[in-house]
Amino acid sequence: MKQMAMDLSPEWILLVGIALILIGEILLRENSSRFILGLIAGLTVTASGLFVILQGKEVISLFSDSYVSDPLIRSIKLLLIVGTLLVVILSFSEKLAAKGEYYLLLLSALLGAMTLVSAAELVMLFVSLELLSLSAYVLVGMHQERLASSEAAWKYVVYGGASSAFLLYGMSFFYGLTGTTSLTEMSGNLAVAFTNNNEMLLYLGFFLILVGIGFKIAAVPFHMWAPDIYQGAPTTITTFLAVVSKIAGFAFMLRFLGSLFGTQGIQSVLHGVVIPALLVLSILSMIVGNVIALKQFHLKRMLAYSSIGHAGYMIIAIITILLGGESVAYSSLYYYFVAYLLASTGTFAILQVVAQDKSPDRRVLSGLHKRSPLLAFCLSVFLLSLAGIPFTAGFIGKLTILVGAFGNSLFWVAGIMLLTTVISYYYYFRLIRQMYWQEDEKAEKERVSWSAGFVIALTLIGTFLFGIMPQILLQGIGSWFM
Amino acid sequence: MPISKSFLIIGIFFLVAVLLPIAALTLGRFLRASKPSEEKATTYESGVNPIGGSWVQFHVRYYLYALLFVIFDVEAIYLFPWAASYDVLRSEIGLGILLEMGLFLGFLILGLIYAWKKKVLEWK
Repeated sequence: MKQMAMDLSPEWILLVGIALILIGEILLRENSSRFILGLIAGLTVTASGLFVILQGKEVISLFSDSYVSDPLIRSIKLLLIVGTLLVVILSFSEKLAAKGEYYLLLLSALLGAMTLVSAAELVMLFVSLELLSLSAYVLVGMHQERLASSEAAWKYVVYGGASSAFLLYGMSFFYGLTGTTSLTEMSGNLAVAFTNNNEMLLYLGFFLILVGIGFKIAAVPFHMWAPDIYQGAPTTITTFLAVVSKIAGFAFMLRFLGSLFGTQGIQSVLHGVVIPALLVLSILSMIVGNVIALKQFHLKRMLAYSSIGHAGYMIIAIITILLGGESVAYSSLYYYFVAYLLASTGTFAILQVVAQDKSPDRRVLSGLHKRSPLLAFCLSVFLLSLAGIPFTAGFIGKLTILVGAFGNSLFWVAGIMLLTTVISYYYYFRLIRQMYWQEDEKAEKERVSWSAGFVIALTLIGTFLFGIMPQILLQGIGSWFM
Repeated sequence: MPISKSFLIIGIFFLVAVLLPIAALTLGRFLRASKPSEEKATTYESGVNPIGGSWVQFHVRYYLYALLFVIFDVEAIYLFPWAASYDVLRSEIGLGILLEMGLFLGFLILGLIYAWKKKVLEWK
């Protein structure tokens, strides 16, 4: 009992934080400031992160193997925690955070994401995924007075519900084939089911689950929700969806595919169905995401499409992991996560500062370098990192994924990745041009709140640090789980 | 039974399920007499004369009540098997399961107090 409490400490802490915020929301008067609740949320997330680090290299397995935690999983948990922490800090200057429910739901979404990463059992996976999704649905619709926000929440619920149904249906096939919901037992039983001429059911289940996962990570052709919801949601929540929810989705994908079709799995299924399906997802995401982003004038929509493109790059890293199963491939994916987290969070933080309550289209950036040269510089760095220009973290991330793809002779995909990266330069540089070479009559300076400033500074330092000295992070990851 | 055969049976059931209502409706159309009157076209409301349209808007408060009801319903469903097998569980796992249920109930009670504070329970 005591051991279990220690092993689950990061999750327990979040649960306690949620309870504290709920009690605080009950006790506080209606019009008093909710800053204290935000502070509790921030401290809880930090404490949870510290306990994740404290667990070190221990391999934990609880509840008859339905909850697993090892250094690899913990490294992803840390990313989720850092992402949420940045979102919480950003929220201090958001009007919405005047509601206590906001922080509560943010923490419960993080709790869902963390158990999702740790889950090694289908029911647990599904429950955690729903905890993450349900909290996110409400968060998207928090701007009750804004029609776009309600519309986004509604769309998210409908799309999300449908994709959950697909996922559950697919899981039911796997359960039917193997008679177990535990992923470790399942991978053994799957080979038996496969040799008993049930491969069609296996493929059906796989594709149904792929729909569910594809929705979560916003990969083409399951991406249609992303632009509308990124646009309608409050900027902080958009950051959460684009960073934390997406990374959790990828961790889910990696866990599921890795344990069922990994190196010990059925090789003919892996090479005949899983890899081709992922390749199609990846190629479509890269092309559609980056090409449609060219036509977007609304900044959040543009970033949504660019994040769809990034999902395509990340799927390549997943393919490399499935093919090679090496930790090198994993660290390249991890590096990309870090770079993407830093650059996306930074970009959204600046959008929050620049656009304030307005809906940000491209023109809000006009002449930014005259008004606030520092902001313009920071945004340029983040955009360059997203585009993958040398001396930023994004470049190293892209490079390692490319090297991995070449190493596994995925020349076509690597070529498409290069090509779409070049396409993406166009729309990223268009924003930079807008900031530096377009004038705007609006003269007032942007007021940068301390919280946004803090997040921007932190992500800027991170982007440079991991861009110039990548070996720090690479060695750090390596020493952690090897 | 091989999987293809069992699916064949499901397929037959599916076909029958689709065809039966179609057959019943088309046969009925040919066999019945058609003498529509205004009386027959009105909505059936248990023999009482219908009042107003059927597209009434429900107040959103009904949904809040429904939500609270569902939560406590689920709680009862969860509590029952827990109480029934409490002795067995306690001898195997220990008193931890008491704490766990306490945690679960605690969160629900917090939720109820929260709903109370937010004036969900007041009908205005």
